[in-house]
Amino acid sequence: MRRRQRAGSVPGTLASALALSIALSSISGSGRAAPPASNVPDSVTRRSGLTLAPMPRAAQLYATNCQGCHGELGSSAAEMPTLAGRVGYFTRIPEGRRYLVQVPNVALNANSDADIAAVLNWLLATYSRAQLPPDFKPYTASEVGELRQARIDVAATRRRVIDALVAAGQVPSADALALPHIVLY
Amino acid sequence: MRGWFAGMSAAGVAAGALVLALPAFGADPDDLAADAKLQLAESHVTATLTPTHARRLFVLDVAFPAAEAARTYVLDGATGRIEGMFNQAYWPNFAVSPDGSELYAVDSYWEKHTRGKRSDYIVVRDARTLQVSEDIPLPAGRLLIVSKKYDFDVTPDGRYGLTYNLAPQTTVTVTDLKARKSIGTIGIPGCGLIFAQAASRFSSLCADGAIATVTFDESANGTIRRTANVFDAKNDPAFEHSGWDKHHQMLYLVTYHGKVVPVDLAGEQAVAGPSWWLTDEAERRAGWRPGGWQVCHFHSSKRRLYVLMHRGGDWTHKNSGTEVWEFEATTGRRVQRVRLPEPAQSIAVSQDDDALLYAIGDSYRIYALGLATGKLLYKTRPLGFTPQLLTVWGD
Amino acid sequence: MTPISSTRFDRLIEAFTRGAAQRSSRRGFLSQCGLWLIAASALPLLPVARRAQAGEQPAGKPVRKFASAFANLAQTSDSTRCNYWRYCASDGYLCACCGGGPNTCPPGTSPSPTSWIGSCINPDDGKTYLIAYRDCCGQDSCGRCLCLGQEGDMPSYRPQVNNDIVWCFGASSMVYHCSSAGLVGLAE
Repeated sequence: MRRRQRAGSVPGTLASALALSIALSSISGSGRAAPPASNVPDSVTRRSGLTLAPMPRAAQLYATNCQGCHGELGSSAAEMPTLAGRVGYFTRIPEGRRYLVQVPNVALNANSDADIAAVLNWLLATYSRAQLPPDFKPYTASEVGELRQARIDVAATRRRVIDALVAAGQVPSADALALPHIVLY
Repeated sequence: MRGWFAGMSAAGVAAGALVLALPAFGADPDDLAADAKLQLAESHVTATLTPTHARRLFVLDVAFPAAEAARTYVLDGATGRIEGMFNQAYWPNFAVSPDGSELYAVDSYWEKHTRGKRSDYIVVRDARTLQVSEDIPLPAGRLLIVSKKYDFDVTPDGRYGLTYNLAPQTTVTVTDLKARKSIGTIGIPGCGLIFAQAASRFSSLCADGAIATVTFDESANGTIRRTANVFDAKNDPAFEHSGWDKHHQMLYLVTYHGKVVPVDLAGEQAVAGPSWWLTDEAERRAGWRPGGWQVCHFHSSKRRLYVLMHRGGDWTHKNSGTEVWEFEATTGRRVQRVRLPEPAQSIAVSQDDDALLYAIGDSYRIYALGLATGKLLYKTRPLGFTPQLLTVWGD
Repeated sequence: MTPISSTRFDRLIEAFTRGAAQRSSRRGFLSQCGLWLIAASALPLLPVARRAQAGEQPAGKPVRKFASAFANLAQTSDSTRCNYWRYCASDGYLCACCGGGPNTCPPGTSPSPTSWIGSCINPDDGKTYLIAYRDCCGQDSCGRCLCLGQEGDMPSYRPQVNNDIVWCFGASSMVYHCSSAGLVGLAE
């Protein structure tokens, strides 16, 4: 039924509590063996045996600010830009690095500059480590604070950044970062 | 002939129907003399609405338990009498043309009810016959969300209809209502809602608490100008149904906690004025705060702001209001507190001099109160499934 | 997702009352739906419902154990009730009353890959959990167990934290059926 959900590449580095929780919930309800005792007092987890470890702060920021659309694994509905295996490309050129802070849901986000820097660094390392440049420097709060003042035309800027990445030979092709055409559904 | 039918009294029609019903079962209709048929047959005509007037009330019923059954009811606001109804589609929007001659319904359909190809339209209806005169396609679609009034607005000159979309980029589709054609889509990154204050201009509220104003041309090329943050979007956001005085191009943002931020939307860039509170300290301590769905409404010529108020704690911004508080918008002076017959989710005020206050009560009844007297004029029986939004001409 | 709000309970009760004559068994219908408030008291229902919805204690000594008014009245055992702890910001018909559960979509519908994520306090351990409010999509409104949690719900110009949007992006269709509330994680 989820024909619009991409298969999505699962980043190898993802070993967070999230992945654990997903794995556990996917085997729940099989009924073959008694589930382990859940550490969440809840009628559903009593049956599934789900156990949860506290999420690191950056993962929590990602969850509450980004994950709803971009997905637990950095990939979700086709119209939501995929992070997994892609987002790191943008950091290979200065304009792309700026773009990641200036997309509206980051620039206009209600969180502090430091928190935004933390969540950007976390999601880049978690979902797209292989695409980061060898000399990648994590975002700092002051850099984010400065960059997020700008208001961009998202579609035009994205096009420009991708063209520049292609011209610089930093992505295999423009297709690597293309957004699919969505038919209303 | 037309005059004759129209002139038949209701009693005459009823009596005629009884008389004719008997021979109709037993006898061949051809046996009837032609003139007898003409004299006695009950004929059906279709009613026509009077021209749109200040006390016409439109009630959008989103029909949440069966959301594909949404509809708009047309009421005589002076009496509460139902004058008509037309179907709307999924999570629709509604507006009246500034000249009152047309009604606009923003609707989303699937070819097989809940599946198949999706199509979105601005459906144009004649305001007196409710007959559809045009389905204007919205090829870029629209955001599906529990209906909010300002996800659709019409420019004051009646030329453009503006519809909001989030897909996930946030955009506004500009439709030329005169040419019956969508002409383009304008990005409003990080912003939402549409307040159309001028022939080629609208403003939106942004995620960081800024106001974005877009000035556009006839090809829907827009120039966007943003303010600094005028409200605290993180801790005390402004209601989507804040007080909108289109006539004076003034938006009175009302926040969750009860602050009012007046914003002048006349120019290329919005200008916020000094803020004031709906409540004094004692009232805030007592828990008074705004809440509901259509929380605010505005009377343009009186320049009065109306706000649904209740007593509650944090995160009660959607609780029904037990009172409506009336304010002089330019001074912040409270004019009166009107106690509602029952808690209400949505309010509106007729734009005539002797203004009526309408409210959708929690029992789905529509209430009307005289604002000068505070007296209840009527309550209707529960209307529809889940009536949600009220529209009056010129709001 | 939500329509009107605060007084969903009231409205639901009203709808039941109005529709009771047409239904075979009002009692059966109500008990299936598991409306805790209806079970709790006879008339007058509306003020009781409103108080509970606002997170206040209906009667007796006020409970103020947690910062969340919702958590103070929440329970962890019955997901067909509006005060099930995960529903502190859930807005719409409960999938648990419609053939699904807090993390299960009813037959004929599919979970949207997109959601909005809020947080609720579990009243039994006092810990805060992140909850994905995920709509099940593909059939019209389930129409049963309408609940309105409001904690953390922001206006739609902050879409990541708004519960009125039809969160069916990427599902088989954009038609909303019911609201689910899956566990995302334990807050630090």
